[in-house]
Amino acid sequence: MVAKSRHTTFRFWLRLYKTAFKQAIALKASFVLRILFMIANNLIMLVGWFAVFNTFKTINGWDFSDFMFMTGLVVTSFSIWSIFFRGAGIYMARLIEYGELDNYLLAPKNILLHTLCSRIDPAGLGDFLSGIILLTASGLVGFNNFGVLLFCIMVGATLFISLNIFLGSLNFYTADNTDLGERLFYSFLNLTSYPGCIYSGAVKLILLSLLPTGLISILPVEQMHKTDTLSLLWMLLVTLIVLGGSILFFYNGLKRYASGNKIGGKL
Amino acid sequence: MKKYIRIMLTAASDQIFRIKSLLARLFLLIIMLFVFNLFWNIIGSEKIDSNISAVNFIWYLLLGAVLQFGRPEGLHRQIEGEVRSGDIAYRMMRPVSFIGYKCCESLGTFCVRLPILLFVGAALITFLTDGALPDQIQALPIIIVLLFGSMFLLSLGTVFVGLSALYLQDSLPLFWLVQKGEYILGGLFFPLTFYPDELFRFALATPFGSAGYNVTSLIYRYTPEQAITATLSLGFWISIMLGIDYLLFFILKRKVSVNGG
Repeated sequence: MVAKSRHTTFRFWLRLYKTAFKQAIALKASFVLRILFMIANNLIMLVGWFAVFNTFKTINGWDFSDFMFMTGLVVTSFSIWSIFFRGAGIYMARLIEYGELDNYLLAPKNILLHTLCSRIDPAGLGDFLSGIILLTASGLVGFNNFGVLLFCIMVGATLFISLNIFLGSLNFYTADNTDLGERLFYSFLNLTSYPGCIYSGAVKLILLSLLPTGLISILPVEQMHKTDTLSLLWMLLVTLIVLGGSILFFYNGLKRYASGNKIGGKL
Repeated sequence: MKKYIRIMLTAASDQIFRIKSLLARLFLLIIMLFVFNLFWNIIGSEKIDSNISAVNFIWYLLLGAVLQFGRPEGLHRQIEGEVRSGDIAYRMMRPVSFIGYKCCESLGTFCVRLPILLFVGAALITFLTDGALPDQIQALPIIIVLLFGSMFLLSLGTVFVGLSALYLQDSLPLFWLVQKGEYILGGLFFPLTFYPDELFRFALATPFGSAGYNVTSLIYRYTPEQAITATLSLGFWISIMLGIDYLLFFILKRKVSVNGG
């Protein structure tokens, strides 16, 4: 029975993606342009940092390859959220704000999963491609630590998804939080755009626990140089807590949801 | 002119009631200044530019951050929505310029956010640097005036991004591209003097350098000549961007007419 239910959910998931992807590539030129813009977007950022590393050579023990790996990991993790779960975050916040969650509530499917998967961003493919290029070009990835890399990408992607579920759900609790959520998300992203090596002491501790951007920007680079099982377990534990917390936050908020009266169809 | 001032005042009064949005920006500003301070403590200044002390550096970045967080959120998304839904046809019937309307809204928003962000940022910096002031603090009033010019230029860039939805449908990737340009070529992440000479000169020749570094760096390298250069450069790029925006809007108007509004 459970297996059948999982199979149905998986099929439903696949169909959602298929429909959302068809919608996204309906305008082919625009689709390709968006991917190219995302790649250029990541490269511009890297050029600036390359110039800085060219001047300083190393920043607190990190060289440009470490920074390239960190950026590659952030971008790849971000792209997984962006491609597959873009429904979390600002889109979810708007659905709640305008009372448009009704369409999802009426469907006989898992509402959170349905909302998360109902929107994809094809430009995320540009992020994914540039992320893979950066990870490869960093020279830190080999056969011996490939498994660690995959683990770090999964941790990063789960953190991005969880954070967006949390920020999107803020509108359940008080009104007009869409902009607030978006700003907080950018604060999170901002912390991952500087080399993780600049953080130390209490700040580092906070970034590895309460505000876990360090799980994307600090620990992975350290793990690629020297794998430490305890650190990997810590990453897993914090990620699961953050994911569980955000899911609970969503369902608890859902109880407060006030339905809208707008009629319309949604994917 | 009166109607544009009225638009600015309406946008400004709207911001006064958006406390949450402002608090979120302040939170982001505090985090950024904190990170800038950490970053500076690690890299130091000796190797780069003898003009940039820790205090100058963080004040410079504060002015850049004020420019970033002082702008209205989602302007490109709003314009994109109007282009895609066809609502822009209704805007065209109003007796105000569409581009002028959007830019005045931005400037009105900036009017409210600038003093608050600058005050909180300055208070935090004073705390972080034990009350030290940047070398050319007396240039702050001139810089504030020029920041409005920068905001106008950045708004014109954002209007361009929003109007590009005519071809791109989704303008977000282009918005991010422009935003990264502002960070890197505008020197909002670190002063352009950190770059090699070629990149430094290239960045200065772009509208990003004109809206960012040229204005914000006056806080430590102000001379009347530098201020005049910054003003002329802003004027030049504002004229160019106005031309580009009006051209794109003209094309858009023709398309809307073809589609029947």
